[in-house]
Amino acid sequence: MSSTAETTDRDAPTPDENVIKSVLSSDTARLWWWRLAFGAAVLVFWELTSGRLYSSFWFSKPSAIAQSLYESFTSGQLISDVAITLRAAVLGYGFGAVLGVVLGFVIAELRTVAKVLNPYILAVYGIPRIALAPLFIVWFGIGITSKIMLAALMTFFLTFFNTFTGVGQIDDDLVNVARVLDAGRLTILRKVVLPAASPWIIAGLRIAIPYAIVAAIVGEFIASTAGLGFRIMQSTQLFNTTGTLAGILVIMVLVMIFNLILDRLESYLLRWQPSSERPGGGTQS
Amino acid sequence: MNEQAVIAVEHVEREFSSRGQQVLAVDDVSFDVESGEFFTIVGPSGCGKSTLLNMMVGLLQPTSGRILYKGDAVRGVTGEIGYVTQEDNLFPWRTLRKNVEFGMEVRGVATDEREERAEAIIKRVGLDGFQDRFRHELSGGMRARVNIARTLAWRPDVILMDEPFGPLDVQTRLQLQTLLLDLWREDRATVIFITHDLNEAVTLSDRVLVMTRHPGTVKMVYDVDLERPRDVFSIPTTDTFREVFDPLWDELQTEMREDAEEDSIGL
Ligand SMILES: Nc1ncnc2c1ncn2[C@@H]1O[C@H](COP(=O)(O)OP(=O)(O)O)[C@@H](O)[C@H]1O
Ligand SMILES: [Mg+2]
Repeated sequence: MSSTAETTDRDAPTPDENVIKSVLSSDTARLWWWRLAFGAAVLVFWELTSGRLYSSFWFSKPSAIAQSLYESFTSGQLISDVAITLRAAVLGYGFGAVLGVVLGFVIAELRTVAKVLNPYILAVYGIPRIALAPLFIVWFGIGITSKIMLAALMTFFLTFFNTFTGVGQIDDDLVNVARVLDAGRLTILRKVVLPAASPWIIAGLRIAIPYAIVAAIVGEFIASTAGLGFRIMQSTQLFNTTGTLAGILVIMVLVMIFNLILDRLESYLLRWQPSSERPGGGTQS
Repeated sequence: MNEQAVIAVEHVEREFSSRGQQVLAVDDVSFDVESGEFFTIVGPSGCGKSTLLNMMVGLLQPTSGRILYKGDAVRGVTGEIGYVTQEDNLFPWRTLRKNVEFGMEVRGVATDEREERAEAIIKRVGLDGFQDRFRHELSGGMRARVNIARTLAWRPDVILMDEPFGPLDVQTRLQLQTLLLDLWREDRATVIFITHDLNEAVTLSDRVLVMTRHPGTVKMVYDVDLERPRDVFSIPTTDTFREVFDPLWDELQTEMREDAEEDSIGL
């Protein structure tokens, strides 16, 4: 045993954290090296085989995509497309997330209401929500509103459902301990139920990100005059594979950036939790 | 009725329905606990000890009979009684320090005083240096101590403790018994303590209630006439201790034996 102050507990965790950290970091470095190597290999293979094994008309090639991205970037069109799509996605996400978390929390807390509504919530959760997209264009027009509403809808369902489930999973013993310690109903909601449900809420917020972006883009596919989705649709209709793939690449990068931000936020907010217990976790690094 | 009784348990019964069947867990239990007393309940596991405490604190209602707290029937949780539950039930999202502060925080104790009192009790239960750890970073024994500290920190004048020293090793157990007796004397609290360890019961208590095996009822209540202050390290070796311990052990061991016999028949 080490010479720490703790001597009374044989089972006290006393890992030598420095050793563990250095092992981890060398492992992580190697892992990243392999990941980069794999990505590079795929790109090189694609570049070399395109136009030889198959026509680059159908599959384009990395250098052409890079070229296309560079041109749309310097012309300012890329930035303006990204801005239009992101505005719809972010506004919708914010709107849907707030509504989803608040409603999920309130309905789950009103236990009788939760019991009555439960089958309906499950049923609505099961419908393919993207199929509502055309209807949203009919309701909210071809402007940004319909895209915002679509992104909001996607986000709302995921955050609502996760929050609802998380609040329903609360350990009654913890609530009882708080009651015995003289906590009132509001205090219990704020200081027990909310933190207990937070892993679920945060997981919901995270999985909703790509859905919000995809929702905005699908809205643009159906009817729009600008934005990433519009650009992709336009390229595809002109058989401009390079433009289509460039647009898809941009979307991929956007989703990755947002995921990274939320991962960081999650690790900080849930630092009290061993990572193995996190619902919907495990996508990190 | 005893005028001084802080808690009076009157003909309390409690049934649970499990898998469609009614199971009697506590069967016609009556006893009084006086103000300032150290009262211990021992009994074989499953005899209804935890159920009794849950009813005293108001988390459960008796199926029949009643429990009086300072003369009034207990109808729900009032926040006046301290309760160290058998499971640690720490809030995993709070650090050790913040867990200990919770009771005072809820009661609106000023931040300075709250931190000072938490710090003092954390040191006394031997957890100095671990203040900023979360539950998953603490061992079972440490969690048990935080659970105890969390209740002692807000200084309730009636404290229920359900096998609080269960997950501790012998040395820590003796240290915490000493601490508990010290705090009990300082604060003049009333303690209702549950254990399955008769040694511990006799060492700490003014009176010991022995329960029968399931469904639990009162077998006997025994006065422990041992001088105070007691030295928990040496008292079990004294003759006077044995005089109290031996007859009580006879009672308890018959309950435990029959329990074991029934179990083996039940197989
Ligand atoms: N919520 C419950 N539902 C059904 N049965 C219960 C419940 N709580 C306790 N019991 C039963 O009541 C009896 C007493 O339990 P408990 O009070 O925990 O015993 P002890 O604390 O003395 O070990 C046991 O037989 C247990 O199975
Ligand atoms: Mg018990």
